[in-house]
Amino acid sequence: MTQAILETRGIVKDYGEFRALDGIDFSLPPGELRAIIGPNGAGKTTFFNVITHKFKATGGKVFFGGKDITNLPSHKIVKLGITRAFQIISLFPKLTVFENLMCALLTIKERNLCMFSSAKGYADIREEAFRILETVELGTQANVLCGTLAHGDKKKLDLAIGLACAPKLLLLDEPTAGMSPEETESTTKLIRRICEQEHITILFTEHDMSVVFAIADNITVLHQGKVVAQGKPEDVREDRGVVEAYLGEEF
Amino acid sequence: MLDRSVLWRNRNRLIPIGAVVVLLFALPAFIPEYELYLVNTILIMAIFAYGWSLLFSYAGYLSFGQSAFYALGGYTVAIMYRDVTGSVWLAFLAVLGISAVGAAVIGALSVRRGRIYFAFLTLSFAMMIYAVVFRWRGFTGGDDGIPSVMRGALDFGLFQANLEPTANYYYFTLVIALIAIAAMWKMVNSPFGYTLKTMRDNMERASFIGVDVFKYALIAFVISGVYCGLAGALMVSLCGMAYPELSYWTVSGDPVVACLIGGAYTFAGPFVGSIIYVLVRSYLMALVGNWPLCLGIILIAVVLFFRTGIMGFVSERFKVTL
Repeated sequence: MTQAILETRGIVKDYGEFRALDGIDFSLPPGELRAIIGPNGAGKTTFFNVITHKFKATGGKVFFGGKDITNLPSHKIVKLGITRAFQIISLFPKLTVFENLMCALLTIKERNLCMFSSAKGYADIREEAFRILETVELGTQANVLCGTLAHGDKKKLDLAIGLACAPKLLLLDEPTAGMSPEETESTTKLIRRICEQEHITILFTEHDMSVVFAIADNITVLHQGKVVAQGKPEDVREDRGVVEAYLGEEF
Repeated sequence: MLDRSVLWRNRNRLIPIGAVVVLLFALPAFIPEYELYLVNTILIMAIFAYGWSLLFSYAGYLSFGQSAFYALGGYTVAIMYRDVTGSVWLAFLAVLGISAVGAAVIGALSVRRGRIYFAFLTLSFAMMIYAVVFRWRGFTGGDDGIPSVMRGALDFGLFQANLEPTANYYYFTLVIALIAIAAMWKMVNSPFGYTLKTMRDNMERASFIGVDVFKYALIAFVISGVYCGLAGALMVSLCGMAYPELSYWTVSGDPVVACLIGGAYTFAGPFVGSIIYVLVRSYLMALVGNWPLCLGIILIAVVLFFRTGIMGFVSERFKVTL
């Protein structure tokens, strides 16, 4: 078996008295498209926040490609190859769509300290930015201030910024939240395509079960900060623990 | 991508800029000495304002303590001339170095805190410098300050340019100001400038595209400190005196007010704001006496009716980038 791209051992995260994550052992092989599901408050977003060191874990370790990244600051984790898109859209609102991507690309290519060259003058970055914009179908909006985009497009741009960081592992927190059915469908296909064509491992959370069962290779189910089930979509659907976790919810 | 519209836009920009530069170089020929002195003050204020705006308009850090570096630069030049050297080059080199070091120390202690704390920390450091300067009579002259600071002479090897005449010193300031502003223009449009803009727009997201936010905030702080130090040094040489109030918190307010009036989020804003602020301050102060009241009214008017400053208003109204 190949080495896991992402592995966590005994991740614990407390918010005061409340234990949001309760000893998560998790392993993700490279190339997989994995969904994390669970009821509200199960700890999905917190899990992402701990992996990317937005918050420090109370206990446990995170390994990326075998390397311990538990205590690395977020910006270093990004440079290693983990990026994320956010559940609550997180962009640079006073910059245009193109500039948003350009900044991510400049950073990944370590050009932040160039003070006297024109940021928009790099042909390689222009090309790459437009390639990604085409991928997420935002090519025609390149010069729009991103603060003025429609919700679905903002969500796509958030994903595009994640892609621009040249990740090996992409974390998507509810990538289709708030999208129209058409947008949801195109985004779902897009995620599948990114995983297969760009060879990026993807870990995503999602509320929309039709999306999850349509594209995920495997599913991990979180409930009250613990992994309660894991496996192929069809197995998870039958799992008793999962049904209990979602009891009262339509599943 | 040099299509026609880009060329046109650049030309649109270059013509007025060229006109302003030519006008500035020609000014000494046809305005009286006191007015030239005022324009000199405007140029210095502009350097000060650009220094502050690098932090505020581009990196998103509101500093209330840039007077710390204004005073540091001012006293450096005064003390260099008094105790060390008569060379303008060396004195100004020392200004750049000492403001940078001072900004690195204060910045390292300030940029890691939240933004509100940053504002108060910078304010406190400036007032600390004020207190030190005020008390350290033997070195800084205490509340007497350091009088009769010279303007000196620029040694070019083959010849010397005497800076004592107001017009000559004006050219000295003008060249420095133009270089400083041009460098700022390059900087805010460079990858570094855009890195700062990501921090201003969304600090958290910036670190999730891989930006080490504290590192770049500190670099911006040092550059800003150098600009402010340079402005202070030029001012002390211009008026021939270093005094503790250079570091007083109201002086920190000067670039803030200039940028608010001119428009902090346009590149021309700090310059236009400096012109208006300095002119209004000098003429109104002579005319009505109650300067703080006038300033208050102007600020209220700007905030109520031109929230993005004058250049911001013009830029929105006429859909141009300024």
